[in-house]
Amino acid sequence: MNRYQILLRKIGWALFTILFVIILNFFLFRILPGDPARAGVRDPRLKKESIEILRVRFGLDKPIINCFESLNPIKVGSCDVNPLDTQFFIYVRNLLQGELGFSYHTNRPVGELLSERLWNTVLLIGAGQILAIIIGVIFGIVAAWKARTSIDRVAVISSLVAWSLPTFWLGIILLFWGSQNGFPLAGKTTPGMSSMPLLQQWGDLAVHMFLPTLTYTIIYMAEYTLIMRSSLMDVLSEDYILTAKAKGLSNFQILKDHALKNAMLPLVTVIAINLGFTVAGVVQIETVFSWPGLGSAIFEAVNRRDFPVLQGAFLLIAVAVIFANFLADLTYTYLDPRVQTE
Amino acid sequence: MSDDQFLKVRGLKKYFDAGRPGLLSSTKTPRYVHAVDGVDFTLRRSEVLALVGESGCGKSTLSLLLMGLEDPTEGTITFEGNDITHLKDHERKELRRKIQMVFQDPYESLNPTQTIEEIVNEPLLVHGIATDKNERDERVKKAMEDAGLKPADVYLGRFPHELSGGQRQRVVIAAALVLEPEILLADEPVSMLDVSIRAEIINLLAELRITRQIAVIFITHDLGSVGFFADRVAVMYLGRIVEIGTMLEVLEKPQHPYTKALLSVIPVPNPRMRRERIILQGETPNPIDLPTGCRFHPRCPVAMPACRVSDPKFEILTKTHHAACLLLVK
Repeated sequence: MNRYQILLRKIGWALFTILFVIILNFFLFRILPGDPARAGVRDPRLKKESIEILRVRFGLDKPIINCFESLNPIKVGSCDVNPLDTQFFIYVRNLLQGELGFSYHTNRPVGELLSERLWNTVLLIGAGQILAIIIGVIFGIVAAWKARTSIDRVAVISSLVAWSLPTFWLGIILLFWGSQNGFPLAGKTTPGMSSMPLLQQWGDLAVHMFLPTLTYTIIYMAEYTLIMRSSLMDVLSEDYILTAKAKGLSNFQILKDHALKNAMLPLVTVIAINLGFTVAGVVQIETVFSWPGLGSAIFEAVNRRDFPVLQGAFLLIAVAVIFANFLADLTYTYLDPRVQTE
Repeated sequence: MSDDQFLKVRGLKKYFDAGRPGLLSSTKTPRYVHAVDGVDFTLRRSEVLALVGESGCGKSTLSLLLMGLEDPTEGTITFEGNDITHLKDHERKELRRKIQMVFQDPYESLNPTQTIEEIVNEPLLVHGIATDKNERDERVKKAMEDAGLKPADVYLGRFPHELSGGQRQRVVIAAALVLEPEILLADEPVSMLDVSIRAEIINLLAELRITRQIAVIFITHDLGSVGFFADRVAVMYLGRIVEIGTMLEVLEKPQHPYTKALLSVIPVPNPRMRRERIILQGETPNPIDLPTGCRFHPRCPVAMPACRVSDPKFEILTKTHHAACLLLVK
């Protein structure tokens, strides 16, 4: 197989996975207990007729799919309904038209709502990941280079502790600390900031981002440190490192030209997987710091049975994970010549 | 400068820390692995010296000491009259051009992310030899063709995983040759290769010694494979040389019981020429707690009571043939 065939096959698999996610996504939330029409508007005085109007408006009066009226509780229905007039096919049809539906709760288009939230999350993850990768990799290199010294031990033990910390707990602790030191406790901007000069707005944003980014960096940095350290130590014990030394390369040259490129390989995989999953993983951080991102959107949507938002968010996460893995595959073929031919 | 001054090793020792004694152990003294424990030999220009011994006898540690990749505990190494035992990294760089090494496993000793050209070219860049690109290319191709990779152009752009084991070992040899070394240290260069390829690589080394006047230290556990081309043979046991002599002396008239045992188990192609095999009992003793007296006595088929007590010194049998055994004391 040549390169293009491999590439095409990888794209094909990625598309197939997304299709599977689309189908799973729909049924996953329909199995959840609770009536979306009731959860969306929490008012006990709501009349039966009004609820019925809500149902019709969101299409919840239609059967889920042929033969099934609803999935929780399971209600078997007629199999003779027009398949195009079921919730599932309407969902698929809308999706093909790029339509993610309307939030049951806010009545806004899901696409608009999520893209606004996604941007905030990308800002947080982007800053956190970049910091975590840079600091984590540097710590990992130092620890591996000084292996079995006290520097190494401190790095390993503190990384293990940081990695094992519950994210929300670290967030709450930092929130306490931040409250004593004048950091804002919630949100992304101070109200009224939009009338201020641009530079001041950015400063305000940076101050708001500080605590959530710090939490994120500490948790993920530890993982990168540990992986980089063990990977680099593996590589440094290879014979080609000894050969390089025998050829007269300095320690720095060995690290730069021989060890790092080989040691980065496992890290690329982990970074790619993390990039995808952290879109979902920031739920805890965003909830603790009330950061208006995708994670807190998911948290709110689960509480309100806001299916369209959940579907949209999960689809976004799935696409992010698949895309990140696809990128990792491509990077791998570039970094490791052995992958191309195998 | 006399030939004796080329490479000279005197009383070389390397002890590795075996870790602190356990919590419940009775002794509190630190323990050491006596990997290399007093080795003496000399190497002449363009001479092939075979170092033979079982695994764990310290032959690989010895090669690392000679390369300056490990720091000796005691003893001296002199090269062309200069003491090179404890050099700093920048002092050793010039020396590395002259002493090059071929490692055991060609699957491990090549960086998988470099092309063959990059691998063979790198030593030139590191040492700043041949600053002109064309000249470098010439030298790279020459080294590769000398190492039997002909035509060199076919291999330049390939990666190590695209080559066979024998081809990889040739790449390793080419990367060593490109610096035009005076000594080539080959640490079991054929033990990871197919039998069919072993002879080719050994022939290649024998050829290089003639065409390039390179001295070769050939480390092996297979006494049978050295007969082809070694000038002298040194037999190692537990960190020491027990017998050293010219190839004929050691192979035809072995004096140490250990050498005799090693020689007796080499298969002979002629089925009528059966020899009595001497099968050594037991394992090589632990290099942390060495046996008293002669360190071979627990496994020696002809051990005497005196062997438990006194450690034999080298007996000079001929000018070139030395062996350390109490039976030889007259």
